[in-house]
Amino acid sequence: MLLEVENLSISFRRYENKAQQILLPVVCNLSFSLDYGQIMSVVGASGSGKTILLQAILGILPQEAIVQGNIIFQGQTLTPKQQRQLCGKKIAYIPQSVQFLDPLMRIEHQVCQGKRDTTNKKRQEQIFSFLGLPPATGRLFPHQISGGMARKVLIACALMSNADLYLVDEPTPGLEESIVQDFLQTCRAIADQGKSILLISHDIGSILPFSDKVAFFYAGSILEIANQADFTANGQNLRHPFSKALYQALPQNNFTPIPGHAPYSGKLPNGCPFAPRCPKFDDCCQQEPPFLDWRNGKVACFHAT
Amino acid sequence: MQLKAQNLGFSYSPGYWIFRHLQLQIESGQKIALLGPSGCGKSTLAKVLAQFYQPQEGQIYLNQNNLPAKGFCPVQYIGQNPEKMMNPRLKMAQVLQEAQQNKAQVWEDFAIPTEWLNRYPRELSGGELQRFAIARALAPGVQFVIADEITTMLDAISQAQIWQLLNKQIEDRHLGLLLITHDNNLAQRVCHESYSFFDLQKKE
Repeated sequence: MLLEVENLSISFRRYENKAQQILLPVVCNLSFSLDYGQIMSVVGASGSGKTILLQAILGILPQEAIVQGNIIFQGQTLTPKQQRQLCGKKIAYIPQSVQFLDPLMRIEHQVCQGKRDTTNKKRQEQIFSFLGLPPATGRLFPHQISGGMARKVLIACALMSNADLYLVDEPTPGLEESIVQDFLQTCRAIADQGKSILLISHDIGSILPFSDKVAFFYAGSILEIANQADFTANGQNLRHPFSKALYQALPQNNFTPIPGHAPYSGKLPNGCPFAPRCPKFDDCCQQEPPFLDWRNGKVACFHAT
Repeated sequence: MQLKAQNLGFSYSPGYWIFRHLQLQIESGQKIALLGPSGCGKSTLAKVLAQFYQPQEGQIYLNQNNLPAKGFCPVQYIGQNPEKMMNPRLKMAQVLQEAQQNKAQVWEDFAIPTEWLNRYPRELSGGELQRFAIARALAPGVQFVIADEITTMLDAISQAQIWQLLNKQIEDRHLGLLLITHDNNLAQRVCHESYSFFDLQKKE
């Protein structure tokens, strides 16, 4: 296994009502594993802690975060010091926000990480032409390019490194569809070389043909890990009610939402986090459902189908 | 009502045209999607139409008149990042008050629970903030809505919820919609017609 995450919990320390300290759980008791050469996609509600999970693997969480559990990378349990050494070398990160670009640095210097020798220069030009960025973009500053181009620059930065694990946080918004397809094909090609990719996205339709596993994330827990084959029959083969609801809400499917909102991390319901919005809710949902193997995948639900 | 852009041209620095000779026409009740590669000027066009920028060439007409230079603009722009379009030091009730939209009817129309009104923008998630951004933009005087990738960063359930609310308002109030997106499926679901950005500039 390239990456294993065991019982990972992340909480944030917050002060409320006259300096009373409370712990805000953001990610609860998460376990999954990622093999060599696999692409695992993480889909789920906005604000459910997907980005925090990636940051925990990289070790770049804010200081007030409290992390419990183990992150095992290539057989080694990572310590904060090891994470600092691996970050950017063996583990590459494509952030979601274009604010990660340095506003005072020309793009070519950011992409080459300051070291513009002949090999780096050549590689940068190849990556730029592959992503469809004009060569002149290199001389510009981040504020002079559009949102979609800035996102391509972020992708270019990650492709420059020779990492084993790529953590990709929502690469697709703002990119035209052909570039999205090209980028996902690159991901597949990288994975076929024995490297692994953890990909966060909302665009289930595009990422599905390229993913080996899809994890459904909701309010800090993984509710289901599905395989590509489960998305046939209009999503009825999925196991968890939330996964079905999410798949049905896509524009290319029914485009019908379920009512309600995702819960706040301070006010999680007892037991299953999805229970208040679930059509199959009953009394046993107030206990925490175990995360079990179910039809070649995994699911945390008492009413899994 | 008709929103018409005639021979529109815009450049950030002299000589470098983002677009030129651009023709666009939207009727009330019409929903149009605008597609195009990133960096081609779609968002700039949206901001010019909503009077964030003045065009260097051409005119924008609303029913043969110019757009009002002061006060509430009948063409409203909704952006991709609602957290960047709100004052972080105002509570959500005050954000709605900016457009005199802090009314019980509005909360009901946009499915906003009253407990959200006492929060600051950083205490709400993107999908929830986007509801406030839409509620603020859809003040009584609005005629045309420009939605610039308003749901790209949201999950499918929130996206469907937002479009259900917005679609109902647009149909009930007979507004015009210009949707800027990269998602062909969404464009087909929501809009009557879709144009490529470059087609608008061809006819001279």
